[in-house]
Amino acid sequence: MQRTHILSTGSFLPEKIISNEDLTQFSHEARKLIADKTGVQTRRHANESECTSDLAVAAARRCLQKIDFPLENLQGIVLSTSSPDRMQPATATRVQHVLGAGNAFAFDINSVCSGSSFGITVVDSLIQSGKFKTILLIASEMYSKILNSKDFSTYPFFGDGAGAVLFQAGAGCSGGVLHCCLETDGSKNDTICVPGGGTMLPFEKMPGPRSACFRMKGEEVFAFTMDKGPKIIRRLLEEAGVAMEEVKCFICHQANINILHGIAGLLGIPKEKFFVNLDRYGNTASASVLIALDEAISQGRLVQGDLVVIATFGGGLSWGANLIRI
Amino acid sequence: MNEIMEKIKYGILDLFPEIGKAPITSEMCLGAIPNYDSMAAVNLQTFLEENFPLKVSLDMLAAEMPLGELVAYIGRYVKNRN
Repeated sequence: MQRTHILSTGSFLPEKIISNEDLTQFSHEARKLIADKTGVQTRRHANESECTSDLAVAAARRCLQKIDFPLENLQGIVLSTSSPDRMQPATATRVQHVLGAGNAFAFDINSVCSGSSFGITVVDSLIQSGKFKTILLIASEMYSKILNSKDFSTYPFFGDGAGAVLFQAGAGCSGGVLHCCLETDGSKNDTICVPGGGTMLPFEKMPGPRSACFRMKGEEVFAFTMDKGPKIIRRLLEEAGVAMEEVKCFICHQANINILHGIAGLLGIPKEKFFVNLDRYGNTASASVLIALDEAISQGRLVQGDLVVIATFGGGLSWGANLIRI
Repeated sequence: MNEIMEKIKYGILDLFPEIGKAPITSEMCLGAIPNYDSMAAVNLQTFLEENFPLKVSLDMLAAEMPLGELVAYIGRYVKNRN
């Protein structure tokens, strides 16, 4: 059987480290709450001149150079982002150009923080169709430029970064994408959103520039992840016929340490099995799980043959999970 | 005092647009602001410290705090400072 397997991974985080104490627009009393409420100690911010595609290109290069992959053999680039360079065209098109991957199609998907689960599923489906052999999935986000710097409910918790995974069709290999689950509840499309700048609230009708900033209803999001996170992981493993104990590592969207510990508790899984890097990078939206996957592999926490569950949740509301054998 | 109340009303409308056309009165508690939680309290704290020459603790901005009491506190603080 032909499976979609991982050929290489890469990630890129901007150099500029922002600590909680650097966020002086908030009181000292408030800054102390950040780590307690979310587990975030530092996050990375891109420079003024950088845009989302620059981070994507850097992550893609690290991924491809790791195995000296010839760019001319790349057939497609799927980019997950909810903080694109521009409203149009797709951010992936600039990535294709700057990378020099002239033979690859390129398009964006936006499922906010769950974009990587949706991206893995889309790439797996394209490869399983038999029409494509090698596709690069990138997730790149630059929330530092779409947040209101004075909004304590969002600004301290997000960071910038990008992750990339090169997928290839592999006949006869036991590894690869084993199963995917995707779900959406569009009735909650206001829970996480950027209200202005689209056709619902065009720029010229916006009451002020902050309407173009990201917003979320934190308590609703927390309740949603506690409800849907464990359910989709259970569904994924049941449908795949895999026992929870067989999974080496759980890579969940790096939203909040309390969410990760909460999901671990509800599933009865030791929290040590959950990969965590949000303390260093904050919530990097859809990029978080691909950055974490690259780190888990680079650190030797995941080796060939290991089973990993990727679980994501985000705006839409949307959530997804993928079972992959490395 | 009216000037302080008007400034705070403006801030609440700006920070919490979900409040819509609901009347903002002295009797209203901060918890009546839609989705008012500890994060929202920090946003209100940031607004107050930017717009008035004072430090206000998060305890002062609990959901049970009536707006009138907050206005009076700011009024006293500003008066003493002057």
